[in-house]
Amino acid sequence: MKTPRPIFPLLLILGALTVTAQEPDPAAGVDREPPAPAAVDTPPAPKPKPAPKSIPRAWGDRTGPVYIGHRFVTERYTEWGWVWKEKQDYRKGRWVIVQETPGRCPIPSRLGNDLKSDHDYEYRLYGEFLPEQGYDPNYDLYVEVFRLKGFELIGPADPLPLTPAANSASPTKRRSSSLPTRGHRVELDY
Amino acid sequence: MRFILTLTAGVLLGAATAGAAEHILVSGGCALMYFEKYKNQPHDKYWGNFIDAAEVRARQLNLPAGDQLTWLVYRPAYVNRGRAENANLLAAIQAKAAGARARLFWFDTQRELLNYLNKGRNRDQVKVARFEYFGHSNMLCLMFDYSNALDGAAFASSILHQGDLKKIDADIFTKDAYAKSWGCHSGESYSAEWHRRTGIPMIGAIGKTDYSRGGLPFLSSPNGKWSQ
Repeated sequence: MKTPRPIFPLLLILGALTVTAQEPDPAAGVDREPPAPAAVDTPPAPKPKPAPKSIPRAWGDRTGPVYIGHRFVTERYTEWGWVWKEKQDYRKGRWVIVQETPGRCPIPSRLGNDLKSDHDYEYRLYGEFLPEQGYDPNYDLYVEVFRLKGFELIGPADPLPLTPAANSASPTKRRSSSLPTRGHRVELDY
Repeated sequence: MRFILTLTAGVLLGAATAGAAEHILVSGGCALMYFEKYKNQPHDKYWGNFIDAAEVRARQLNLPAGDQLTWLVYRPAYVNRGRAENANLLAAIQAKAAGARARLFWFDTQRELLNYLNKGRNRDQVKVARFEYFGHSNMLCLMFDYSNALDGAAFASSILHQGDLKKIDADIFTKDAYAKSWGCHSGESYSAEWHRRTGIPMIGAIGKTDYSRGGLPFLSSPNGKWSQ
């Protein structure tokens, strides 16, 4: 004859599970009381940056002059970020559109399938500045173009105190008040 | 006698040519899906939006006898898209032009387009009676290229910004020439600048236009309208 199993521990476990299920989800706090303010002298530590997914450490043709590229993601900007020569100061950085060649060397984050995953990451870039500028239709800007042929991932970097598009020019010299000024978005679509 | 006949023929030919006008349709290029597939609203899922629309327009036009229809197409975009799709898009466009009885010319840069407009024909004899554009644009710019050579952008030589309109000779047009941009937002600034520079009114869209149903594009913004 089998001894009956005690059911008390099972009830305890079920009770604990029920209590846990009734606790509010801290992530769904839209209708909750706001949390007590944190102590002002202990700011929360910045979250560590997640590593870009699937961006290879190196890619493409890595011969020739070396540039440093600082990726900067902004809404609707076509540009990639800043690029400067390896031994230059970052303040020489030029706000650029990167020309990538399908099948040869895409921008690094395209290899990770998330174009915005590498904000404030830096790379060693191989390629060249082109003599012809590109046109960013979102902001009506002429911008320098860097043709990319290869890169090496350096890693996350501190944000740069540079202004996007500072070295770029708008072709719209004369503007009426109804026209966008530099840095304002111009609608583009067909 | 031979001289008189030649002279007479020359005068007749000259008279016919002097009365003729040229109607010009311009097709900009399509984007590459390589770039567009990452966007929330990808453009140009079909490569032929700006080609089919121009072809429909070409077939609609009932030109006066002696007038000529010319179709200018931005070639590099179709070379690149054809390479990506393993298709000969240039041949497909040539066939459409032949079917629409349009003289097809390729252009690769803004300079080539302007050169044709200003000097492609003897503009003392053959004026431009019509200019219609099919392609990407914003309120300030016709973009023959968009997201093809550069993701979300174009090389400066592949656009015709309103600041470049001064490069068009104003005397190439007939007095009653017709101009229209079928691209987005042209009516918000570009049309007025075109009119100011060339003396020819240009109809343009206030809001967006949409080519996705095939044929001529339609206004797709809630309060969209055509304006000069």
